[in-house]
Amino acid sequence: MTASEPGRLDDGSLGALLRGARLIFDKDWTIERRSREVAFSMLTFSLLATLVFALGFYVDDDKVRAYVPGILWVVVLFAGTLGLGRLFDSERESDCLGGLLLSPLEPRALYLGKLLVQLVFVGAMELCTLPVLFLFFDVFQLLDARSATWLTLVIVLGTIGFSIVGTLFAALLLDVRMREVLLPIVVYPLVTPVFIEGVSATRALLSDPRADVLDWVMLMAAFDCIYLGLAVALFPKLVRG
Amino acid sequence: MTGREAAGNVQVHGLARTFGRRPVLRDATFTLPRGAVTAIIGQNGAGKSTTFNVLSGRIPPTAGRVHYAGTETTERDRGRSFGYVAHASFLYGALTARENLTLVAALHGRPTDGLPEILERIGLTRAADRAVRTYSRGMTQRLAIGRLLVFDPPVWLLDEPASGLDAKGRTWLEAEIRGLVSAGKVVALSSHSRDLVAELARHVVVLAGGRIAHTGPLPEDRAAAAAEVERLFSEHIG
Repeated sequence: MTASEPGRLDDGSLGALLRGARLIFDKDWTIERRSREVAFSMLTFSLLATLVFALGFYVDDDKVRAYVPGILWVVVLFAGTLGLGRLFDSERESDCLGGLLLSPLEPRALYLGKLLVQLVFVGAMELCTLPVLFLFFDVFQLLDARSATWLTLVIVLGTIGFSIVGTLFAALLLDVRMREVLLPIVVYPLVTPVFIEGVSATRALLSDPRADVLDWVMLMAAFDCIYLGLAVALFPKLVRG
Repeated sequence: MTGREAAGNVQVHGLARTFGRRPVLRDATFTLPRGAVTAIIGQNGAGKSTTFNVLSGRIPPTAGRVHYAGTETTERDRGRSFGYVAHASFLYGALTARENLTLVAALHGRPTDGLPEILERIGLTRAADRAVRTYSRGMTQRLAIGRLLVFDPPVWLLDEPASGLDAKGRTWLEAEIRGLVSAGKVVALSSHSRDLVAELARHVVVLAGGRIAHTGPLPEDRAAAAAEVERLFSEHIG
């Protein structure tokens, strides 16, 4: 971790918010670079899940179109949940969350920093896993440049929506017993709309590379905006209890 | 007390905190004067740590107000300008001492030039690049105090600061606290050590069952102060 430019983090400006978020991201990045615990567990899980699904479900190309959308989103959701479960681990130790909340750092900056960490972890996991999944299920032959671009956008929006909600509840359930069980129970129902749009858009693109998925993409983007607005507004009050 | 000293005092009025239906702190009114150490003492469960948690802004009070320098403060104000050494160290075990202090400096908008000096002052220069997870309790406690040196708050809240320190560490702690007093800081400390309280404190707040059982200055004379501390411990703590 390098020394940051000194500057106030509590002046309420956007710059202070972003500096604070960057500080949290840098801190978590330093910890993860040293331990590699979260990235390793997410990647291992997602690759193993992909392998199991590939061995269990591959029948023929027609079935691929039906199965792959669900498999893709289940892998993203489950592996992402592994990351969420560990997202605030470093803050739990020695009440570091308490220390951060006592500092001039805006709680919203803490939230945005953690969201960024989760997005980077899930994004890296997707970059490594999804090509393998597409390879196993011969998905590449079903896509052209246009549909691949739309599919990428759908995956990005779905990942953002899931991470926004997940990061909020990962913080709230920090000191709750069995939080790793509770986290998916709370988060999955809330991200169901994004998940359904994501599966539908993925299925449409795999069935027809010329399919129009703009409506689904708009809906996913709208949900992401609503989730983000609510999470940023609620996080400071909820995290302080 | 001079007007300048009074201006930098922390004044606590009717502070209360309830957990569920259980009152842990009730109607606590006292003053933490500037340029002096106030010992907050009491049995286990008397409400000392709750008092520190509320004063630091870590948890909100159920009732009451805290004024600093004549102005009513919020939890957020106190979090920003009061320094707190709690039972938990607020330190990241996976980071080194240097990284932890760098983070604190960045959080408080302070430059990092002075960090080598602070590491020297807390006696951790040689261990500065080791993960804090590998530290002994005493080293962690030194670093927890070093956290506060980085942003040098005007009010120092020290909950059991000697915990885990050996004799050398305790001597170091006493010297640091004397330095804070000389610099005109408000210092509140809790301790079960009669010697430490008698050595450093000039004011005392005794908590019993969440209420203030006694509050006031200790005698100027060192021997008389020690005798008074002994009496207060025997009477209220046992």
